[in-house]
Amino acid sequence: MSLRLIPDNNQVSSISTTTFGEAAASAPGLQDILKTGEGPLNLASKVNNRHPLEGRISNWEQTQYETRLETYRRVFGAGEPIKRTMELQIIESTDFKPSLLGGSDPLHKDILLNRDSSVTWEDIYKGGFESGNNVKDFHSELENKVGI
Amino acid sequence: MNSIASQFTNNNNNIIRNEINSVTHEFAQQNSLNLVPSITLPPISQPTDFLRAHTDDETNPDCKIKIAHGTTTLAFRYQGGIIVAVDSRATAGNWIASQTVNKVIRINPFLLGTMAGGAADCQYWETWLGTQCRLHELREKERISVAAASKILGNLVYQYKGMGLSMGTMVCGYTKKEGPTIYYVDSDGTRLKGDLFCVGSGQTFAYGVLDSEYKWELTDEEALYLGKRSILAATHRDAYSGGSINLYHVTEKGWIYHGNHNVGDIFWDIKEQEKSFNNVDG
Repeated sequence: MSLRLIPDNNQVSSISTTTFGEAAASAPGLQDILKTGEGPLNLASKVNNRHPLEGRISNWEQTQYETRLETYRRVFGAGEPIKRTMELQIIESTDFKPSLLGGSDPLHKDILLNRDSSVTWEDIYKGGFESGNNVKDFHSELENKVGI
Repeated sequence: MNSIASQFTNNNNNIIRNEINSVTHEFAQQNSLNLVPSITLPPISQPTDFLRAHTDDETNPDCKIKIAHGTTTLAFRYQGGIIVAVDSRATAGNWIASQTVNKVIRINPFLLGTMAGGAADCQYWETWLGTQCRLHELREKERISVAAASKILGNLVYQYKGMGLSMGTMVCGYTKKEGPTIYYVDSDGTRLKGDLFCVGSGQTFAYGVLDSEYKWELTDEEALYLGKRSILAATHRDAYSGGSINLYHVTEKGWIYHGNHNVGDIFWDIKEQEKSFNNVDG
């Protein structure tokens, strides 16, 4: 487990045609263009000209969360992080509202993550950097949820 | 629940052990056969320029890795199917790497792909195209159309656009619903359907002969001779083409190989037979 302050750099170290999207059912060697709806993918545009800190900043929340859980483990015992992770996972597996209809209500998640009394940019720009252009369609979302 | 609990046990505590395990896990995973190859990238700001700096002959003549380039390939449609003719010389920078390269890739018994530009790129990706075509056949229970095969190749090449792939290839095939079809696919992502294409450093010389003699009503022998004569003209004037000529004829029953003709020998035969190439002393 990690007690990190600075997130790891998750710059892509190896790419293939399916690293940035799922493979199409009809052409398993290529990314599914119809599903993403963005047109043919150019790998060079996803790999070149990235800010040197981008890989680390995109990991910030997750790293801080892991550090916090690790300190709880050391101070209060393994039960603390296990219980917290379990509660989050219960919510994620029982909540479903398609993002076409607005996505699931973040009420339970906000309470658990202690975000219910604050409003930040993440509440306005809900998906982060790469969202907004292509909302995931209902079928692929449900497939992901159910695990097909 | 077990997976959550195991995340927080003492076993996962050792950072160094986790790192070693993840690296060996990565190496172990690479033994599996993937449908697409993965390319490792250097961790710099412009990873795709790294390889180009070391292999691009035009921008840096001192580069250490010289890619095999230079060729003449042609394909044309006529009433009896498709004729594909290629030369067989490979040059790397300023020297001739080989005089006996096979520049036609047999994707499947009904599809041929020609190779111009970087030899490795064409060979690898056209063989990969062959696997995709076979998977298509197994899935759809019918042979893949030439349009679909060239589309797969074109989309793949577009994904790698700007990363230094160099290939100009023609996908030629005969299917029942399309008839004889030729698609030209480029490493820039161009994909064009046409009747007649010459690709490579010697393409202009081949176009000269081909354009002047081509008509749809050619007989099979005339068409084969025309393909051979066009490549001969290109090998005569282009320094990067030569070696020998490989001829293929694609019919509705599949492709037929029509032999390997050494340029050095047939040049004199054709010169005598046609009374052409008069500037060369016999």
